[in-house]
Amino acid sequence: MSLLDIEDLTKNFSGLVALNDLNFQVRKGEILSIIGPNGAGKTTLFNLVTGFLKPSRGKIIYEGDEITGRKTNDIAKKGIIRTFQITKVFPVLTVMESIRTAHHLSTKYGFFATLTNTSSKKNEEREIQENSKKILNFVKLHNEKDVLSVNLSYGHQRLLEVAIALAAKPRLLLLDEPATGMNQEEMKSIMELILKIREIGITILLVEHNMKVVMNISDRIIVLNYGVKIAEGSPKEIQGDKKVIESYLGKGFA
Amino acid sequence: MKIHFLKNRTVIFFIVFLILLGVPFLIKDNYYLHLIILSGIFTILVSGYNLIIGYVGFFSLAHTAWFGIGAYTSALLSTKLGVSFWVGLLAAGILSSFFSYLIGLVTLRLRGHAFILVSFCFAEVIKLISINWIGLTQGPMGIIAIPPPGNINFYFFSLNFSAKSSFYYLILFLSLLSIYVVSRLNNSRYGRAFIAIRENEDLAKSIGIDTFGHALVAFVVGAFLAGLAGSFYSHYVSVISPELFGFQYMVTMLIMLYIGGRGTIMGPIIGAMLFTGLPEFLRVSKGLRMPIFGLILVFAILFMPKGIMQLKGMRWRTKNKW
Repeated sequence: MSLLDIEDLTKNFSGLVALNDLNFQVRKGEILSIIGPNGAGKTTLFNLVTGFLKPSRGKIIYEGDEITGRKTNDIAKKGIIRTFQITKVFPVLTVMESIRTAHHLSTKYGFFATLTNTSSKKNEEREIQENSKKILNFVKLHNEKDVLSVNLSYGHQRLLEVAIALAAKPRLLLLDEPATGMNQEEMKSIMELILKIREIGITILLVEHNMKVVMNISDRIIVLNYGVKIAEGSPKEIQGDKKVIESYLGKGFA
Repeated sequence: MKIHFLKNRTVIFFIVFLILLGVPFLIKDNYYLHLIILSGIFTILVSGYNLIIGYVGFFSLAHTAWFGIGAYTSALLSTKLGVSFWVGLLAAGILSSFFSYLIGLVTLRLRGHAFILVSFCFAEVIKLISINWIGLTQGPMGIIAIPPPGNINFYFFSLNFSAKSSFYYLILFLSLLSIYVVSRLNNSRYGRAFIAIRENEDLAKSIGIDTFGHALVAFVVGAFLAGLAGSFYSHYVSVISPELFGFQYMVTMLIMLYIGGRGTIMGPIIGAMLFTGLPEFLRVSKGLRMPIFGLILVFAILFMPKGIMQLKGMRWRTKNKW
């Protein structure tokens, strides 16, 4: 059962082809990793799926609905949430406040309920407070809940990003290099966290350079090189693929 | 423990409220009362301005336009059509927010310098209209003899607008209303969305916040409040002219907001009170008045770039209950 269908997706940046006729599917409940050398088009793919960029050609279909070229916040509403390669947090908000802010989509009360402070508004606020605590426990940031995001360590900021994404209730979570710059310890915990997220029923599309992470947790892997898919398969198949080794190490090594 | 704290806060609010009610009895000098009324007008203006600049983080230069539109709407309705002030007040708020909605639809898609310049241009266009559409606005002559609000007699409660104290109570009510609206927004999904846009627009979008829509809400609510302030102003001073749209008022509001503390509830209130009073109190030193004022400004910006609220050890904004 596919959750996301990418059909003939192409993106040109004034002559430079970042993605070329890409086709693949993300199946419900899997961890699918996209790997490839720098400039292979991985982040471009994320930007296209989440509406930060509009494709030059091709279709993006999510649960049977075409979402090609929709606005980012509308795509988020459908349940596709991403994190960013370069850490993005809300600097002056505390960890707890950031998570509450990220519950935007699960609060429904309107403008006049806000002004009159209705009981349904208060109930919703209480609910997101409870849910925020759960999320902080889930990613193990509960001890940092009152720390300003800007004062967190790098590893904790990466965790906070994942927590923010989780608070937006994703069904498909796009993680852009979550393990970059992490030490062994942190890497282990982010791997555990990703597996835990899959367990609660969230499908994961992962871009990652760290092969240890990719090979350990992925169900399937897609390899991109210069915007073209050169291989697709299980971690084992990919490790033995000639084209993949060539693209990473050069022809002489294959 | 928590209940105790809450009680204390309620007590403090109650005492402040009583003092505010007693101001006309404590201050008999009409000139000082006039200054207090002015600071009330600025409290409303700057609180609304704070929504778009301090919370959403878009540097709009259109705020005087909403003030002016409110003032003209209400003044024209009462002088030309004999409409009651109370209807005019509401109409002023609605018309100001209507115009800000139209202008926001276009400008809020822009970012950075483009937004600043285009918002300023719209404000200038509205100013030019007020100067040149003589048939409606009487141009630079302005509108004179705007009547004061009709008296209110409501059982034991009555306001007679031949007395300054009645204007004081009216502006007190309007200021408290504005502060209420802004703080309700602040403690809600709206306030959080505003701040999220300011802090990181891409992240805000990616968690499903409609950044354009929320910026528009902040813009329009700010304009509504400015419209109310404009309407009050025109009936209070009874004469208005296109000078209302002058850039110096924008600068005044910006100073109040930045020195008071943007992105906070108290900042605009403190800024408004301080900077309506300060230039007046500096009058003692005649020629040096403006230079001293300038120096105070320079030092304030050097030593508290995030405003007075920063001095209290507070963060960039008031600590939220959410």
